[in-house]
Amino acid sequence: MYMNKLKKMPVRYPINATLELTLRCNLKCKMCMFRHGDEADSRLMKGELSSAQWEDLIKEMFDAGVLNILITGGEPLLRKDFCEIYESMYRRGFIITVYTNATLITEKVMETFRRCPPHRIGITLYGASNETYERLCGSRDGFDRAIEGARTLSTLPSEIEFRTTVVKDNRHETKAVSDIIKQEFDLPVTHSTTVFQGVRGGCMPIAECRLSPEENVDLLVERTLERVRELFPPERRDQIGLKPIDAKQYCASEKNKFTLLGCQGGMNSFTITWDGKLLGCQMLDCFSTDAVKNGFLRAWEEWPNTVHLPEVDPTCTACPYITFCQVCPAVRMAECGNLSGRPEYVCQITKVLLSDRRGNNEKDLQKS
Amino acid sequence: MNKKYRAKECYIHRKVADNDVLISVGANVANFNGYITLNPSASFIWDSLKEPKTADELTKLMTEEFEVSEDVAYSDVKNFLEMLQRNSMVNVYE
Repeated sequence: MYMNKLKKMPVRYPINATLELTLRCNLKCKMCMFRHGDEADSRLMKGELSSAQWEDLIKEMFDAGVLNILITGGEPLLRKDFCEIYESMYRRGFIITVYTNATLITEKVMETFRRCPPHRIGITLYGASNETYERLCGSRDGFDRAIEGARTLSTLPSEIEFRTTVVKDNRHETKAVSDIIKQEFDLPVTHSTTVFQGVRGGCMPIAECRLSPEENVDLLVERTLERVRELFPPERRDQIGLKPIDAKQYCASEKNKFTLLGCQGGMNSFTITWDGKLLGCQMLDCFSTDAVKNGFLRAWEEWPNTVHLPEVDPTCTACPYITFCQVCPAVRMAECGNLSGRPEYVCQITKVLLSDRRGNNEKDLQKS
Repeated sequence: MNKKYRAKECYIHRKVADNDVLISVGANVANFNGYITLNPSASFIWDSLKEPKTADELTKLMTEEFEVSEDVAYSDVKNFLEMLQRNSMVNVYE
């Protein structure tokens, strides 16, 4: 059956690359889905691609037509050779985004970034105080360092984006984070509201620290309304063009899109991991090819042959909310440990969002 | 009339999925943070502007490269150079 599907596959272009330079990180966040134990650091470091291997891959990706590169980790600035790898890719001509926790902004990094400013820098904040950083990320001065790093990075011509991940330990500072960033940088903060369990060997007990489905939906609604208020102040309210979706039509159009993982993963985007595997999605490593051994192009071309998805839980297949649900193979693997299970946490979030709170949400939107 | 134009170095010209694109780099990302797609003639003119050239010199190169009359080539070159100037993508020498 899967071979038949592959025969119908449209031309794939490797446009968007995520380069995971390292899985190591100087912060030890409780909710990091990739975090390994401290004892794994030396093993991870030994297995990382060298700067020469990255440079070879980057040349191959350039030749293959990659346009956008997201540099991420772990914390990519933890690599001592970050500047060399970064500059070699910048000189070729990509649209580059760097994700960082902003706590490791050295003069050497800034000297490189001043000459070769990234197009975008995504700064992740985990709270609005050192106390929260210590409790959540194991860093006593993490907040001070992150804010100082953000100030330094904001002197670059790059577009700066602030992001945060909200869990139980920093929920009380959600507004404070937004207020600080608005006051200091006049920018909004993007909130990750759903945190999945550890993947690819990540060992954090994430289920213990993440928000309940109800808290998650409350935060999502709260943030959405705040964003609507920001984008449409009272004098522009009449410009809001919210229209109800025809669910049947929407579901049918979604089903007609050709995908391998339910998204653009592996169709026009991919990840190269710290040890040189090519993945369709950074969260999912059960389908992979070897980009170092086989070369990038062959790894990209052969990757679809590795994808074999089983039938999913029949409850999901029959669920009327499936198209609105965040479930995908990567989420099933993270939450259930297999590719077919029904992730209860995600299922609950969808039900709360679309069913249980539906009346309240509509009222909230009307009030706003 | 004898103005010479030269492409600024704050763009990198490359191929992406069979398209010619210019990627904005360096301090220029503050002014333009993204990329521009070029058609074949725009791509040819941009490459020719690595060295300073006048509109007449570019017109001559265009007629040699593409099956196009001198009048049409000159008009295309003028329009493209004006667009490049408007967007600060070329240095101009009198």
